[in-house]
Parts: sequence; C-alpha cells; structure tokens
Amino acid sequence: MKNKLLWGALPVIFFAGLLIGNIFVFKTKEQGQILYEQHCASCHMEKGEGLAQLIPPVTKSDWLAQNPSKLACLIRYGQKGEITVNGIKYNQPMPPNSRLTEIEIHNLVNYIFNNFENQVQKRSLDKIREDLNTCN
Amino acid sequence: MKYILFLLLIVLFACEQEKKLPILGERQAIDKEVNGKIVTDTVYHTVPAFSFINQDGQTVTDKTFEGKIYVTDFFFTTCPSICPKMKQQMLRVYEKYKNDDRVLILSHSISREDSVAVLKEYAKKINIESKKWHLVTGKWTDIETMAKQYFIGVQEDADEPGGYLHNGNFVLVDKQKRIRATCDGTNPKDVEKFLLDMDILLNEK
Repeated sequence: MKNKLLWGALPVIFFAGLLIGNIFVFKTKEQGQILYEQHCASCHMEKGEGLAQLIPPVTKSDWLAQNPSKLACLIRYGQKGEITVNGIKYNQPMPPNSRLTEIEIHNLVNYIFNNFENQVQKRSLDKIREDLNTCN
Repeated sequence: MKYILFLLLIVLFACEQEKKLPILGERQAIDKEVNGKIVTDTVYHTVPAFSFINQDGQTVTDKTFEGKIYVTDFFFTTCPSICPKMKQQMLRVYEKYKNDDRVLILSHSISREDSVAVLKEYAKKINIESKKWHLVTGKWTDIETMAKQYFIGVQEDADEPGGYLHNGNFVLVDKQKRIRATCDGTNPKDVEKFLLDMDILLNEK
C-alpha cells in the first residue's frame, strides 16, 4: 500500500520538477533584455558598447544618468541631430520604434538603466507614461 | 599495422603543410591548343573589371587591387539592421592588417543617398584610412552587378528598415580575382575563422 502511494507520487514529483526547472531556466531572460536584443543590439551591440564615433554606447552612459526622463521618447521617436555621450559628440540618426507599447518601453528603459554598468533609478510605468506625453 | 599508422601520419602531415583555400564559384573546362596539342584547362569564376568612387572622391577600379588580396562587403551608412555589426567586425580585419600592404578592404554602399561626402564623414567617424579601406559608391546598377559577382544579394525594398535588403557576408578575393572564402560578417566566430583563412591565403605559394 505504502509502495503504491510512492509510485503514484513519482510522476507528480517528476512534473513538478520539470515545472520548477522551466521557471528557473526561462526566468533568466526578462522582457527588457529580449526587447534590447531585438531592437537595439544590432547597432548598440550586445554589450552596449556602440560603434566608434558613429553609434553612442549605452554602457556607463552619462547621458542616461543625466536624462533619465528622455529615454522613453528617444526609443519611441528615434533621435536626430547631435548628442554628446561621455564627452564624445555623435550625429547619426536613430530610427524610431513606433510599434513598442508603453509597457514594453517601460521594461526596456528599466533593463537599460539597471544593466550595462548603469546605475539609474528605476522608472515606474506612470513616470514612463508622463515621459511619453512630453515628447517633442 | 604499424605501416598503416605510419602512412596515415604522413598523409596527415602532408595535409597540414599544404593548407589551401578552395576556389569558389562555377568553373568551366575549356579546351585550348598548346603546341599543337589539345589541353583541357579549368577556368574559374573571376571578378570582372569595375570602377567606383571612394570616400576621397578618387576612382577605385580593379587595378587598385592588382597584386593584393582584398576583403569586400556591401552596406550603407544609415542601415539600422546588420551594418553596424558588420562594420564592427570589418574593423577587426582592418586592425589586423592595417600595416600589411598585401591586404586591402573594399566596402560598397548600396544606398543612393550615400554621397562621397557622406562616406567621407563615415570613414572619419570609424577612423579608417582610405589607403587601406575604400568605401565606394557608384551607379546603383553597377553596384548590384558587382554584388552578384561576389555572390551577394542586394535589393531595393521599401519594407526593409533603411529601404534596402542585403546580406552581411564578407568575401575574400585573391590576386587572380578569384573568390576564396566568405563568412557572415555579423558573426564574430565566423569572422575569427575568416581571419585565419586570410592568413592561409597570404601564405599560399
């Protein structure tokens, strides 16, 4: 009787293990990272270093630290004209990402703020909405 | 048994010594008359003559690459998809062979908007010398024709980000204008192997 119970429990334990394993494996990629890889990495590179004097880095960026409220607009509408990052002037247009939703932009902004050696305070979804309402 | 092992070693050793790159593209067998005898000769795919303008406004032709091996690709300065990665990787090629006179680089712009002035500015920003790395522009149909010769597809496509569709391959051309290697210019590991292929080609006799 006891044995039967044990055998019955085995598949349950097995599938519970699979589930927990899955959660552990897939947890490691948050949406912000996936969006970064899809929309940003081909120019700003996987490690965020940018390209020479053509494409500014997102890594250790003083521009991000000084303009946390401007990133949401920059992602949605792109960038034209000169921008100075870590003392270097860049002037290469960045295309807009008009298909990203507010929530996606929120996740992407916070992913960038908390990675690439940046230490910028997280922005709430309300703040991001406010930012997006003040785009030029 | 010992004999076989010994022979195997010799064969392996021989392979190691005569490392050569394949010659890519279609080949044709052509019968020629040499000293009254018919001899069958293999004709390989070679890159035909071309003429473009580089970032300094100078004319760059197939003659520019005479006696050199060169790496070529197709890009455009405002390309938001694969070009920045390609250029990051091509900069590795540039850095490695910067002081090696046997090697040149030729990047074709496929955008009608990339004027000489735009290419000049681009070259300045990635800090390259035009002696070593030519960024060229020309008639669009000429660029397209040459792309085909290097087995690279380019296409105008309004639906693509930036307006053009192209692949990011690097192509290695030898002194006889034959194509000897290609790689995915957006893939660092592939480029690693490509750099080794370039060394093999330089060491060929």
